[in-house]
Amino acid sequence: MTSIHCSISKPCRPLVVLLLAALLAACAPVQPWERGRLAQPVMALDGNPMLSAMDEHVYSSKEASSGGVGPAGGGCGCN
Amino acid sequence: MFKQHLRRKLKRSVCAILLAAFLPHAHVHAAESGSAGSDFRLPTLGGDGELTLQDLRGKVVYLDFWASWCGPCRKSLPLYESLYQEIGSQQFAIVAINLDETREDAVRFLKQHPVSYTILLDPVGSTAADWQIRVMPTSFLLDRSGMIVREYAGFEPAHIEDIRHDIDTLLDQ
Amino acid sequence: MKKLSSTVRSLIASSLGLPGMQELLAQEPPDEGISYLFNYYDEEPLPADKLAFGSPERYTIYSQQLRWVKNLDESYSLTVELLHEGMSGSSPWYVMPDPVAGPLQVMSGATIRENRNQADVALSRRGNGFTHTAALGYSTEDDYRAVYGRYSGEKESADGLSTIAWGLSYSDDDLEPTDAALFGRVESATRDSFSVSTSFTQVLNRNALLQTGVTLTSQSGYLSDPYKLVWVGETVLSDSRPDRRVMWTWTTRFRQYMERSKAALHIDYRYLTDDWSVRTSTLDLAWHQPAGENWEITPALRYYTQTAADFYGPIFSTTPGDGYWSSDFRLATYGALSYRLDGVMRKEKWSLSLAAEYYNSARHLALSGTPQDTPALVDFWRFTASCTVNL
Repeated sequence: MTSIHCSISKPCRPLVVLLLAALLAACAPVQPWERGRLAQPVMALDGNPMLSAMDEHVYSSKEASSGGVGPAGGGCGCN
Repeated sequence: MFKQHLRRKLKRSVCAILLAAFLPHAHVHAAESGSAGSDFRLPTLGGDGELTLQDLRGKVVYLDFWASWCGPCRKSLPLYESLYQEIGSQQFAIVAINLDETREDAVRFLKQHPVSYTILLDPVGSTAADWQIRVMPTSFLLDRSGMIVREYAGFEPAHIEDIRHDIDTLLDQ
Repeated sequence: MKKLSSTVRSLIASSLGLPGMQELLAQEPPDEGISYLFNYYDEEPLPADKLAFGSPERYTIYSQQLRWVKNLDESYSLTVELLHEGMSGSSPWYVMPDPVAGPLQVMSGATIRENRNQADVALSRRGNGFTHTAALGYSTEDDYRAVYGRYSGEKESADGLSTIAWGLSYSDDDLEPTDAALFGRVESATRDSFSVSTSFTQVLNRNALLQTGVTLTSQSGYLSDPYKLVWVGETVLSDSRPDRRVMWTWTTRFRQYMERSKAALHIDYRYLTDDWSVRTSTLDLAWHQPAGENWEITPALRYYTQTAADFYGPIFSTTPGDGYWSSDFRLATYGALSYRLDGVMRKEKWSLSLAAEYYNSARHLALSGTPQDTPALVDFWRFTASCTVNL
């Protein structure tokens, strides 16, 4: 459990605080009419859900890990 | 000590941001129904001049804030166009303020969804700020004296009948 | 200020009570349409110097998928997905020692032919900034059946700049391995899987957004691979894994818009840790570049690394005391690099997407852990074509 350890162990705390601070600093209010770039297709979190589901299916059937954001779908035998 | 203080402060500000983001809060509106809409002076898309809100006095005005990247605008612009064709420009005007960063984006969009009503350009969005737009698209219905009668936040095709009814009511006055 | 006429007053009054028009309507219904996807997946043959016996030809899979999205009304939408997969080839069976060449892979002799069919139906409801989705699905193969359900929800903040999402899923799987009596395999078994997840998405500024989330997955039941054997001492035994596995996954996705090139940089990272001692990291980098009026070209690089399960070994000289052993290459320490090129053409009414990928895995690509000989590590090619017609 190295990563979980890391987030609570002492030496990592400044790092976490720094990371949070950096994120907050990067935050700037974005007005509704200023979201043109965020709305571009290239900025989509998941531009083609059917394709990314296929990607996930291929990788998870050949690797020890599975799952990403959101609940998973059904299983397969996957020899 | 200082670190602890900083952490507490950070925690508090993160909480405040989360709260502010997720609690429904009352908006204070400058562009409120029953008040006069704030005036503007904007260039037309064709580049053949400028238009102010004052110029439109005496007409019922449907003022639309839109952008080429806004999803519902694909549906709203063609519907506004047929509304405009039906009602005519005698006592009525549709003025659409485009909020795209570049003119080309608006032109490309209008090639696919041509309209005959007036398009104004506001690439920096200063009118959108003045009119306190909360969601894209947003439209306002103004009476002949330039008073805001109603605000329409967002668009769904089913709403066009309501808009039509509101315009007719104002024209009949 | 001019006095308002009574009709105008009533107009204003009615507008306040009108549902849907009054508050924020940033939530858009999904685009309605039909999509079709074809995926060709081909594993490279096992190199001759790693093969003990059996067929070197590995899996080839043809997949076809159909997806239909329909908005039932202003708030409900339905998504139906159908999938068909045809698989053929040989799969890694067990690893045997060779005094000269080291561990060699034994492949299944006969070509396996298998089909898988899956159906998935999801219903979504939007309103007041919330989206709820419930889905049911069924997947069936000759020897494997899964019934699953999932629920997910999300809430958009009032300013539309952040989203909290949560989800639950459950899958109930039944195995009935073929030729069970002949090969001494388990005749039938079950396993189930439960997962709970949450994520948070935040627009950072007008050019960037970030999503981060965690998933907890718990699997229980028969988690061994009924078709795999393991060389233990002087004999071969069936693959044997613990009947429980708990996984934690942390995923972060970042999108940065590039003003000059109008492109977007995508950085996705995923970390997984489980109680089998598996740790994995996946880093996905992609550059989404618009080209011409309608095209988007995306070169992408994916790096994957994992540490082995604590009961993994290519070969066991003595019988492990805990009763667990597996020589499945998917539980070994290794790393993988994959190179990918995507192209999408978007038109008003339809879109077409093409993708090619080469995946290469090797023990020396592992970032941490102590890699052991794993002859079955796989390399593959993949080609995908998909199209969507908006209705």
